[in-house]
Amino acid sequence: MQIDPAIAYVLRGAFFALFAASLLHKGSQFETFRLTVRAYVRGSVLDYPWVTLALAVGVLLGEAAVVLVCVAPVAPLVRASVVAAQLLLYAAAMGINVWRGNTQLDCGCHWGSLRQTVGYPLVWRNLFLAILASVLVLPASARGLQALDFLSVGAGILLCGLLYAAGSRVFTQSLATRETA
Amino acid sequence: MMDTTLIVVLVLQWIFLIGLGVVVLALVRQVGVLHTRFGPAPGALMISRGIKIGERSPEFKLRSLDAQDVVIGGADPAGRSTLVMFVAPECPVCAKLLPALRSIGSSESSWLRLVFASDGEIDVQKKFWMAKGLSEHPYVLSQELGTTYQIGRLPYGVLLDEQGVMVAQGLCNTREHIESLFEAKRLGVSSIQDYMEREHRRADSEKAI
Repeated sequence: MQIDPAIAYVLRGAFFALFAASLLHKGSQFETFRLTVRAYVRGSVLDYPWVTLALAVGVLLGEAAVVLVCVAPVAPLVRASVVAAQLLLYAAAMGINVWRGNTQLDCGCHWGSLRQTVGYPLVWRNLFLAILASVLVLPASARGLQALDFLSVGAGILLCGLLYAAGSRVFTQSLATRETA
Repeated sequence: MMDTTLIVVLVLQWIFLIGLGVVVLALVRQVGVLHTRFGPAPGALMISRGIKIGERSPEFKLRSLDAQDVVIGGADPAGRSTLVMFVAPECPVCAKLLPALRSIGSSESSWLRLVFASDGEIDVQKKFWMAKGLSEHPYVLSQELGTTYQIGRLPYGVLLDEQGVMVAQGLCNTREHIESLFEAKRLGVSSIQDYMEREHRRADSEKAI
């Protein structure tokens, strides 16, 4: 089974944009991000400053790897695995903390000043994104891209970005409504 | 001819789809604004699951936005209580409450030290701090402080006595809610829930008599 190359490019472009923006945000505010990671592991066996630092650096390296495999010519299996693994790691970290009742935790996935607490909707969102990433395991067909395809790829990536931003706001608001209800 | 039609249709389709995406994002954002403006404003409830009333707060050595050393927790050298008010620039209720807080900070300064606390991007916080004229009171940024006290909703007040022991805390949407923290300290009750429970018990014992 194969997928159309335009669809593969849209997915690769969308994940590249998502993780590149995330990497830039986390890297530019590393100390804040380290504290967020510390809040994730607080009260667990990993609650040591050096472990927190190592985890924060590890997450950044993971995101850098995702950015790289989205643009580099690597095997589809490697690309899909790296992207999906990163998303599943986030889903697991959030899921464990929600299960522990640590629902006031900032998810650390926001850009700008928007604070987003963790909750099951975010876990489901990441699982959905991981499923989307797993589509990249399919090899792209050999169809050559036409000029019109580039328009579709660009517009598709833009649309994914808009929908992701809208979805994030919906999740943030639904979690905030639950907090104040 | 057919190719041209297809190209036009495809371009139009993307324009419509992206337009729809923009509209959806704008609508969701507007729903958020309405939610913030008209959302419920609960009373001075104690919702934090962090440090309990009667427990000594850990000592936090922080630096305020105007680069002054600020200690939260521990015995206050001037023998004053400390009111830590958790606020945020994106919290409209906090903005409405600031004039009352400034007034309380001045009028109660003989026994009370007011400290504003928040976390997030320093540039946004500095703009907020300057725009709201909060320079008379320390304003600290510390995620650890919020995490330790388990602050979930804003504006939230934490009142520590002169020894750094937590005596009252609660969600503060109005001046009355802030003053209820002082009253809680005076009466020795921890929160409005504690007060209501005591009142119920008192009413029950009176009925029994």
